[in-house]
This record gives sequence, C-alpha cells and structure tokens, in this order.
Amino acid sequence: MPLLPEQPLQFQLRQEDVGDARDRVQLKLTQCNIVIHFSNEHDARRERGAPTSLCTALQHHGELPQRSATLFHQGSRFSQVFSAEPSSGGCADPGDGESVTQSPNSNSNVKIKKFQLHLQSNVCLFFDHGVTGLIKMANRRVPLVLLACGSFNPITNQHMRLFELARDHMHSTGQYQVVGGIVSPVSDSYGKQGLVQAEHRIAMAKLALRSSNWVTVDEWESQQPDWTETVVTMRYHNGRILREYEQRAGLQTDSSSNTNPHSGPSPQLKLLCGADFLDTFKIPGLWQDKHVEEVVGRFGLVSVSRGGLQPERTVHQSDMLSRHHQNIFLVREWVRNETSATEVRRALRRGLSVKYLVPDSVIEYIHQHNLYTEDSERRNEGLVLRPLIKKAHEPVNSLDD
Amino acid sequence: MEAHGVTPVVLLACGSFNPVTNMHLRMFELARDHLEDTGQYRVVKGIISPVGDGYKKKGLIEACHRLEMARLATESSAWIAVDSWESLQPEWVETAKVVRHHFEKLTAEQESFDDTDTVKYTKKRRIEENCFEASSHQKRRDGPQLLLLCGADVLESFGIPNLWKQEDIAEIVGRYGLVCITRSSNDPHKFIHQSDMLWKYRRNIHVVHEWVTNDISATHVRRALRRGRSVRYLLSDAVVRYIQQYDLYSVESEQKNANVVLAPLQRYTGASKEVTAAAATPDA
Repeated sequence: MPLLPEQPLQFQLRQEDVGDARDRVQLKLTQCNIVIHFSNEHDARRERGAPTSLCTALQHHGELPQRSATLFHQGSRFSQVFSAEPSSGGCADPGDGESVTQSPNSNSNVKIKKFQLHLQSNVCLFFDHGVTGLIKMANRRVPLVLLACGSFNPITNQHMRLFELARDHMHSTGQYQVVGGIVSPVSDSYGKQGLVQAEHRIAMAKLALRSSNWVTVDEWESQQPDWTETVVTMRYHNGRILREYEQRAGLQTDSSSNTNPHSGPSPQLKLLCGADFLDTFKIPGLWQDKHVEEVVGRFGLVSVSRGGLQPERTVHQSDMLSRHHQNIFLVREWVRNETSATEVRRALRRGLSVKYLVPDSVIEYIHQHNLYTEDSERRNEGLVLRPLIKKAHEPVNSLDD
Repeated sequence: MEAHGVTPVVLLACGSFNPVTNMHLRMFELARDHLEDTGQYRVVKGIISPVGDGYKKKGLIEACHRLEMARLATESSAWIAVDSWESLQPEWVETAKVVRHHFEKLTAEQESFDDTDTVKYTKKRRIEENCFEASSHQKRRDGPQLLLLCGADVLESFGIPNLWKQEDIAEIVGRYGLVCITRSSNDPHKFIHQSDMLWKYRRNIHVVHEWVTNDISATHVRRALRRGRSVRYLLSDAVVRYIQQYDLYSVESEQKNANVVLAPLQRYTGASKEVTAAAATPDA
C-alpha cells in the first residue's frame, strides 16, 4: 500500500463483529473497504486494498504502546488519546465511561500481533505517518441519540439540516454512531408569543419527517400538563433509551461466534441545538445553574452554528461551560442560511412563498388549517414565558433525589 | 389578460445548475412574489435553462444529469419547468441568444394562443407616476415579458473583462429585462449606478432583496458531497437520491475542465488565460 510522507492518512473499515473476548485486544480484519483520504481533499484517491496488506502492515508494527494513539479528522484538528484497551477512549464522554477489563499482560513493551475490535459499524483507523508507522486505533463507537427541543413553530428545512450536520460531525469524531434523532416540540404552556397549538406543530413535524429514516417526533413533552424543563425532558428520553437498550441486550443470546452488537458501550443522549441556544444560559431566570450543569455535564450538547466564532467565545466566557467543553460539540455550518421559523411565519402572514424553506406537505397543512396569520402571531402577547414564572414557584428536583 | 395593466411575465434562469439547489428554486419564488407585489405583473412561467457542456466550467458534469436533476427538483412546482434547448446545442450559447430564443418561442406560442378565450384576471389597478415602464420592444400587451432571473453576482459579472459582449448586455437589459436577487454581500444598486449602460436601463432591472439569506451555493454542495457529508434539505430529496444513485460529484468530477479555458473567455479573446478566471465567474 503506497504511503505518502507527511500526510495523515485515514482508513475506514467495515468489519463484522468477531467474538466477544474482552480481555484481549485483537484485530482481525475481514472484508475491508479501505478508503484513503488525505487531509487536503484534492489529492484523495480511492483504493480497494486487500485486507492482508493492512494486516501485514499492522503486524510489522505490532507494538502498540498504551495511550499513544492520535486521532485526526478532516476539518478541525483535535488530538485524542486512546489506550490499547477498548475503554471509553478519551475526552468526549466523561460521564458514562465504561470500565473494561484490561488485559493483564498489556504494557508498553508487549508486542501484540493481532488486534480484535468489537465494532457495531464503521471504525475509523488513523495512521499517522509522521510517527513512523505506528497504527493507532479508534475504539468502538458509542451509540448516540440527538434530542432537539424547541417550538418548531413551524418545523423548517433548517431544523432538519441541524440533524444532518450534527450526525455527520459526530460520526467524523470517530467515537459516535448516531442511531436516532428526536424532535420534541414544546408544550403550549410555554407561553411563547405566536405559538400555535401543539397538535398542529406535531402534525407538521410528522409530515416533515415522514421521509426521514432516523429522526422522529416525540409528543411526550407537549403532553405534559405544564411546561417541562429541558433537563427533565432529557432525563425522560435518556431513561427510555437506556431501558430499551438493556431490554435488547438482555434478549440477545450470547454465542461465541455470533455478533453481539449490544454488548458494547451504552447509548448516550445529547441535546442538539443552534448556537444561539448557548446564549440563553445567560438570560436571568431562564435556567437554573444545576440544570445547565446537568444538561452540559451529564448529557452533552451538540450546537450547530451558521458561521462565526460566537459559540466558541460563549463557551470560553463561561466558567461552567468551559469546564465541560469536551462535552460541547460545536458544529460549523458554512452555508449562510438564516431561514428561521420566525421568518417563515412572517412570510406566511404576508402571503409570500415559503416553498423550498419548508417541506411541501407542511405548506399544504398550513394552508389547510390557515395557521400563521396576524392573529396567530399575537397569541400569548404580553404573557411572561412560563419558565420564568415556574422556577420561582416550583423548583424541579435535582438529580440527588 | 392584461385588462388592468398587468403584464404577464416569464422568468428565465440560465446557469450551470451543477447541481440545482433549493436556493435556485427560492430565487424563482422570491422573484415572483416581488413582481406580483407591485401589482403590475403576473408571473406565468419559470424556465430553468442549464448551460451546455461546451461552457467548460471546472467541475461541470454532463448536461443530461443536470437536466434530469432540475426536472426532479421542479416536479413539485406548478409553474417552473426545465428547458433543454441550450444544453443540447453543440457549442456554448451566449446568454443573449438563449434569451432571444425563448422570447421568440414565447411570442410564437402567444400568437397561436391569441385566438382562444382566456380568463381575464382583475387586479387592483395601481396608478403610479414613477411606475416601471416596460421597454418598447416588449410593450405588446398581448405577449408575456421575458425577464432574465439571476443573482447579483451575475449582474456584477458584467464587469469581468471578456466574459460578456457589451452588445449582449445591452440587449438583455435593454430589450428584455433583469430580475436580480441580492445575495448578502453584493450591492447591486451601486453596481448599476457605476455602469452607464446599466444605469440607462435601470428601469428594466428589478432588484429583489433577499432579507433572509439562503446562501446554498452549488459549490458548497459539491464540496459536502465530496467529503461524504449530508446535503439533505439543501436540495430536493429526489435530487439527493439521484446524486447517490449515479455517484455524481466526486473529487474526479470536480477536476473536469480543470485546465480548460471557459468558453466565453476563449471565444472573446481567442487566447488561453489563467484558469483562475473561471473562479471569478458566478456560481449558479
């Protein structure tokens, strides 16, 4: 396999799970599709390499010192350190790091000839040529669900873009496998001006997401009697996801030769939002500190911005956010797209077209039900936003309870 | 149809459409809203005319694909359609010729249509002293007016040496007319002000402000595709599927015409120029 000097190379492998031995780290490559990308994408080539050549390369460089792997991914540069054992693999998820049995024999001087990875799907393998041919490995990916809370008044193409961008980004870190997306429209009791009934907002979201095979709409939040804090919604979904995961893992028959995809890291839930969301933490009375701590520290945030360094600055300027910066994933969207639900409503009020900003099915629904008029925009006019009232009267239980 | 001074309008968009994006389609919607809002126009048709392969722009994939993607993208539209005439010509065709071709076609259609009874729309009559005056050539009240639809970057490309013939610009703006959608960074009014010819025909240039930036450039889309990133919701779903099906837009496809001079530059100077000129041409 030809290697170019001074260029980090990226390998992407598809591999079937093999076995379940967790006390050794063994790599067995079967059915590899080797894609070589250079960091400068103009030179990228595609090659189908024979598995054996990569195996041979690995065997030559079988010595894998602990904690020495470096990970590059296109675009932003970050370094992460992995150990030879399939642990949680570094800084991204401090909360749910799983403990894995460490091979009793592993130390930096042991030559390991074969490496076995427990994989659910793609694994990114990064070969840092600059460090003379040592192969570093990424471990198994954490299944990830992205939750977006918001008014969705109405849902727009831009909302759905957030999911796509977030998924691509999280995949490219090499640590996550995004397995689901949830749109959770806020309940009517939020009291925001111009908010139309939840039943409509949910119907529109369902229409919009009909064509998506991984993002769904969830009505739980909108069905609660009162407005629900984001952290409470997150706890609900997190619990649900973990229970489903455990049920599936329990049902899986353990067989030494069959794949057991659910024996790996447990799934995580992260909040998906736009960059302006980070700024809302500063609004007095809107958030409780311990809730922000839980959302950011325990779960994590994926924030998509439309250009500009504002989100980085926002994180930097907050001690608390900075403390959890590894759990805050900032995704930059280079397309300058200022489409927002507010603009869509404005256009609709004025009888202007919103085609191609919002799916056709949603436009039809809006016209059918005559939503978004001057009257609808005046709903809740003068009312105080529910979170600002609620916090004063009924504090939400903290996690300690 | 023109009972109360309402002129029917057809919008024609020329460009690479490599690939067609939601932004292209938004331009039509914005233009229509703007024109009809004046009370003087009724937009009856929109035409997407993808450029032929002879344009030799870097990264331009085959016309047959670009046509099909545009067709898929406009399937859900009641008034925008795709025309293949330009792309089928063996050599690159100047925009002015394309506009002329479509105008003549419309006129011919209208003449055969004139005998039929048509539903007359009654629109609120606007009496404006400074109202836009259609150019004399298109003042015929029984035929639609043809306007070239473009982004402000195309307007400003009039200034790039050897990209346009002066008489072509005069014809497009003087005889037909332009609807120009501003992208965030351009100021078309200033550009019009600074060009004597454009200033002369300023009444034929409709500037539409896109208050909500929707800057989905095809360049960006192609880049995302090369990197295996999602372009869903930037293009219509059918186009996304088509691109995946035929595996369009790779690093290789972006290298097409890499060392070839853009057709208009070649034609007007007859000399080979730096390929960087291609980078200056508007991305459509």
